[in-house]
Amino acid sequence: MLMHSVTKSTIAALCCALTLAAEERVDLNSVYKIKTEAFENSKVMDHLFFLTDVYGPRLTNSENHRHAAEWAVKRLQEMGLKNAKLEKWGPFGQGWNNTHFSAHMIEPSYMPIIGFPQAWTPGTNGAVQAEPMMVSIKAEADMEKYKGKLKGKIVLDMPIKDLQMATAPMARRYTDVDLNNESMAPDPSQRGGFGGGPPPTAAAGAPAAGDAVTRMGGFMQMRALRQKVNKFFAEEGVVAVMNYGSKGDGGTVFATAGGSRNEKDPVPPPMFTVTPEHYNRIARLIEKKIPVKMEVNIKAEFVPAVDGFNVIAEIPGTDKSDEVVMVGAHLDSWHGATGATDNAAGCASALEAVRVLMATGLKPRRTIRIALWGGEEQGLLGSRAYVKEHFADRETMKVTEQHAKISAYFNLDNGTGKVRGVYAQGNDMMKPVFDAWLKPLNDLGATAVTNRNTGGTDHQSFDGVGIPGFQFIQDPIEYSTRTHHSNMDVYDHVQKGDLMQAASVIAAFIYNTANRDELLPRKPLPKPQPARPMPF
Amino acid sequence: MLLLRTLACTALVVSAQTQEPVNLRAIHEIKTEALENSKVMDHVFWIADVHGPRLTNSAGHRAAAEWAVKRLTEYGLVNARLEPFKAFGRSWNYTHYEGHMQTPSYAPLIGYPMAWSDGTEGMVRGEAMIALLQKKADLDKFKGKLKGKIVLIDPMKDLALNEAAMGKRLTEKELEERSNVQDPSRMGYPMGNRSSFLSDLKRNDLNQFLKDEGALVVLRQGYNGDGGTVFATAQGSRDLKDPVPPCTVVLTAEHYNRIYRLLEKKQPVALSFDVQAKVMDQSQDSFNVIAEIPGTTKKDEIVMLGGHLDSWHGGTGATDNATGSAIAIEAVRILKQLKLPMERTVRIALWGGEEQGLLGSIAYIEQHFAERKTMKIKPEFKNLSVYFNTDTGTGKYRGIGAGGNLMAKPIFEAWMEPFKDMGFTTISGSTSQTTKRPGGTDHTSFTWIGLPGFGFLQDPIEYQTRTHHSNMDVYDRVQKGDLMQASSIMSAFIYHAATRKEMMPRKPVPEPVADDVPSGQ
Repeated sequence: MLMHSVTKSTIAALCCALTLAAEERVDLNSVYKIKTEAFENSKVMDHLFFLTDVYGPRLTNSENHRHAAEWAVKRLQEMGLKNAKLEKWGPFGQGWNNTHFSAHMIEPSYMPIIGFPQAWTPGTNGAVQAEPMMVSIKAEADMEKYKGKLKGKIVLDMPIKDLQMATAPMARRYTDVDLNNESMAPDPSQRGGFGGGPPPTAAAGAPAAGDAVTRMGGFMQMRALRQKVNKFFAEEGVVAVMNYGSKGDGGTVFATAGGSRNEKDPVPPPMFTVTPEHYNRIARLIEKKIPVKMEVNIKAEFVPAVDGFNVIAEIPGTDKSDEVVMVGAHLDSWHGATGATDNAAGCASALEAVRVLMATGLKPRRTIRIALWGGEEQGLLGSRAYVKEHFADRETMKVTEQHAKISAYFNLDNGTGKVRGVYAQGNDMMKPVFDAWLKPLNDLGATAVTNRNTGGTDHQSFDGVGIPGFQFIQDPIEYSTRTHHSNMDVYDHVQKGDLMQAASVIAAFIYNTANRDELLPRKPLPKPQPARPMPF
Repeated sequence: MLLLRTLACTALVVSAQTQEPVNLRAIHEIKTEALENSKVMDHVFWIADVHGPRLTNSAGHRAAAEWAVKRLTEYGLVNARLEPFKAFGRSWNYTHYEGHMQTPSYAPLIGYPMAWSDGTEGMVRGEAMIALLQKKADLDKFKGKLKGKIVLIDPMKDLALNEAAMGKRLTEKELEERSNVQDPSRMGYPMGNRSSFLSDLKRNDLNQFLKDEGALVVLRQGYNGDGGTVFATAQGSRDLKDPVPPCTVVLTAEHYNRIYRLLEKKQPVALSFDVQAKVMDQSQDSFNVIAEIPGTTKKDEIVMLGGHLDSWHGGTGATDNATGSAIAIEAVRILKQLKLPMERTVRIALWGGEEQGLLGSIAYIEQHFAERKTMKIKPEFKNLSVYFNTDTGTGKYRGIGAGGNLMAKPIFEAWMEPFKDMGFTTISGSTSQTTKRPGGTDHTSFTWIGLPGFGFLQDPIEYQTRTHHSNMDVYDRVQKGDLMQASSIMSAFIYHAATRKEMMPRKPVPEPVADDVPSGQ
């Protein structure tokens, strides 16, 4: 049965691909207009300025997130888009704002400490001076020995981090060889995305491999221990917990959440993450029995739970206006910096793509709908809720009428790098279509079509219910080395030329999708999938 | 005549090369002690983690010096002491920095105050404004407009993509280039090319203006760095006559640029700062740390080694120059530990005031050897064999600069041979210009008056890109293995200089120059 259906769909796909390869038409006139507008009148860095410098950071449901969303609605209206609005998607949990951070070593010698608080952890009630203390808890049983000893202390609960000399450049672009490797199908016995991203989840349309399940299990276990440790620290009355990020140094600090958006979860102690040089200095002093005194002052507030929201707006289509092409990126960010490459860059590119289409006066046949998601960083919450509301419930695979009317969703969420190609997400039928669309954009460096899956962002919500959902391949630049969830995810690390390029490629792709005779070819509908626990 | 002289010279080199003795047994012991019982990172720990930063005459500098005297005494050195030198000027300490953007959105600001600038009166809040003060004429434009404002006086900085690695070691090819003679028309020390030298706006005029106008806080770009790594030194001066500028803070380029862009696009920006900084106005003498291992049969003759103990204040002065100090301390520790008999006295010096213009070492040579402007030779002048210095970061020794002392080359070649497998291979500057003025670092104070002074050639590691005068000049940026290597070589060089039959060959005593004394900072 399985065999039969595979054979049938393969043949169908093959025929389809052959036909499309012969017929896929690209209107070079339109591509020319798009490129000219995108390169000669670019506003992409102005969008980015407002999203980051003015309204960043944009932790989901924080004040800034809402302000940025309201700004986006206004800007989209000014561009001439219709139905621009915030669309609610149900309970997100409590919001969180940080309004003050400062930390210092006072003795044996003064040093200002570079860092920031972890999200959803409380403040310190003003400036508190305290002694730091090293703690090592690897299992539940380790907590016992610290009972009664942590009160009034700043707890350092990680070992000294060995910092290596930086012998590789921080920034990187894909070489032709990288891109070519990327275009080749992976070993069919191995699962895993390209570029070191997280492994594809069940949403990618295939059963999760055993190791992925184990990994998730280990993760959940670690998370459970962390929650217990946090509760213990809070009960013991620690002043704060200080740690360092999984990467970064030299004042670049990577961190996300310490607590939870769920009001029912225990509130951890104040937690903050610092540059490892400063952590190590204090840890070494403690190890060598030199008395250390610190001061820390964190103000953070929890905001009562309200519904999450996505920003939505449309360019109405002409003769096929009931059919929809979607484009988007997530508007929310982590809070360490201004969420410039994650993901103001994607939002600015999407905003610019629709601006370019409006400015060129091109008339898309289908309706183009832009979505700037909320709650992405907490598990694609905004896009999942949107898909469930408008298209299909993944758990039942009951589809709505609109499910048949959406052609595709295009997403940008891999940093500031220019578009080097696109992930076809296992959709063989798309290869010739994308090849044809990329051809006039080849000289911009956008050349690769890979059938591979990529995960970790909002196109998965669409792909998971059988709607063509695509993410672009982007040059990595400094995403994993410097900006992704760090305090240096800021405007200055965005590459202007790259964003101009990305905006033009996206504009061309959504225009082509909107004006094509047929909807884009689809993979078969996936089976219903049970709900999975959210990792965050 | 010319031909004859060349031949004679060649003959001398050959004979020196064949005759320069090397005590391989001593080197074996030194290497073993340096590599198997190293204490060098413990020295760095105390100098950087515990007592850093060590701005000249600050509390940290004095505490580090006292620690060094104690440690050197514990190792059995004698005459360990702080040797004062005159009229350094005022000192400066800072004991609190925090900066925040309050509107349009909250952000903690990474940075630190620049030395010899004022603090704030507790937490102050103000509106930010751009006032580019680059040349004299700019002052008129902003007269009467800065009162109570937080003023950005530098332009925005375009941050390029980091396509080169921060850390770097010298390749064989680069080492070869260093050992070759440069174009003789371009010899000498390159002069600094900082824009402040080119501008008609002098630092004192700028500082006086900012003070008179009542700027609340002055914000500046660092001269290098990004991503939270901030490079900056002084805004004010140690000179009692100079004006003390208002609180001046240098920010990471990303944060400075953000504020600047917001202002350019007419978005109001409110910032708050709390900086506790104190200029200590009483004129103070400063000090060098000195200690000795007495020689045996030639104890009046001296072999010196050192590094500077003072630092800038942004980090803990780990690679500039706790490393140089730690290497020197470790080198004498090794020699004491091994009880190797040495004819000459070995003297270690940990200089103060280096960052303000080699003040400690210049004062020292003037007190002990000769003043350059008169070149009146003091008795000790003839007794100094050599001074060896380390002050270019944390990188291992890849070679030594001969400073134009061609006669020293064959000696160094012989001493270097047993360390080639540790990457120590190159002699640079066998031909180079006479020192016209001291510069760069402390061995040039010696060569300036014609005494043999040498600095080691080190791998650059992250000196230029990350640590040199930055807030990330800290312990973690120090390469442990590199320091162990350097300590073993320093120790062996000192041993051989102290046991060699003759003192190190010298260049001719220079003529007095009255008008070329550097003013420092």
